[in-house]
Amino acid sequence: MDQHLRKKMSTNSLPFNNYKNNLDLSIYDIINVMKNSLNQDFIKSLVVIAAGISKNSDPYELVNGAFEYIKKNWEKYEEHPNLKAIAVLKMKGLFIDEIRKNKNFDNNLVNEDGSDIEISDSSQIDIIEKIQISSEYSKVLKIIQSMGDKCREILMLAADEMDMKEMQIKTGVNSLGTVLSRLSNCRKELRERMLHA
Amino acid sequence: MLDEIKIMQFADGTLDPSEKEKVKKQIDNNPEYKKILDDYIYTGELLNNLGNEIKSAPLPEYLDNKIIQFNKSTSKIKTESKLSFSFLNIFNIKYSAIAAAFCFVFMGGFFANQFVMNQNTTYQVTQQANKSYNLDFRGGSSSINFYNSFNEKKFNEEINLIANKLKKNEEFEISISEREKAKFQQIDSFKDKNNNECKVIKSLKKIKITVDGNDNLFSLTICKNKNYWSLVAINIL
Repeated sequence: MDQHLRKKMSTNSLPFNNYKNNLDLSIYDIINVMKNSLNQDFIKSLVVIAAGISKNSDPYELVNGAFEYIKKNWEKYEEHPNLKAIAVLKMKGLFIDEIRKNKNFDNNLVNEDGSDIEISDSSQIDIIEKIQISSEYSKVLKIIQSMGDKCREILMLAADEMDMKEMQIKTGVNSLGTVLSRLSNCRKELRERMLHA
Repeated sequence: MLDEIKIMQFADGTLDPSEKEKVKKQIDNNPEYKKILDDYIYTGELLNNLGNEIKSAPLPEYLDNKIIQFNKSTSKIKTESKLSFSFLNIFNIKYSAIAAAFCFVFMGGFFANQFVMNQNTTYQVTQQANKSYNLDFRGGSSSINFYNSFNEKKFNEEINLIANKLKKNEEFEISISEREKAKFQQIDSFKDKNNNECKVIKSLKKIKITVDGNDNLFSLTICKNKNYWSLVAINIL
């Protein structure tokens, strides 16, 4: 997350919210500057995370879905202190829905042996072509895209410069230790794959 | 044996400052650790640059248009509301009431040098928490100073990870600002008027919560609404 956005988001939860009902609208306008906004920075930050959630599917479609959902429920989420977490959860849900639709998955996304089912989309959209980045980083993204779901997700959360606590909330992992160890292992795997690419 | 996670945290600059020196010494004395550190620095920079590359890529036109449209429509609602203001309506009872409320709030500010209430009893805390889910706000400069040092977003995020399991008299540590953590103890719990669960936590050491204020012991009241705990009151003890 860039510093500008981080600063803006840290002021999102200032306790001015109930003032909008009591004060003149011009003052409410000033206060509103500090509140949540679905601006370009926020959406681009979601694209980074979506690139980790989706595999061979269009990350912009996930972002679009999350955007539409938040827009529709704006009254509910306008003052939410962690709007990004809402968007990430929605994108994950949308991705799983899409997979289920394509592959007729039942509700159980776990193999018989208890391990997670590796989710991939049969539509095989080339994500690298969708996001216009330099060939050097296209290669990095391609390598991350070839990794497992958990690594893809946590590495792209790290690419969005999230801190560990935020990663814990967004991955839904119970302990901070698990987040740290997952990130450490995935970074080692990324290093290995980069060496052999 | 040095934990690789510590090396990763050292590379990212997120290691606890108290451990930094010790970890640095161990890395300096072991070429294997140095190699691991270099690898983590490499992947850290790689991910950071990848994130920046994606963020600098243009958004598809349809998404860009939607953002513009959305922000236009929200600002239009506000502008339209503003345009409906008429000078002749100034004596409207609604505006008179607002003016009176302003006088009350600002005059209160002159007489209160702290925006938080000085309360000691659970009853009073309950009363305050009942008012709303937003912090009470009194006075001028001290409230602004408070928010310069206190990171409410970080506090709320961290408290949500532990609040459900907190028991009476249990001690725990939580961030109160970007860098500073403080020890707290849960001293009470109650239900507010909407039957939401609330907990009162007290700082175990005196902390300077305003930039120019004194060190104080204080208690924080947190309440759960729609499964999300948030700070609703701060009380100097």
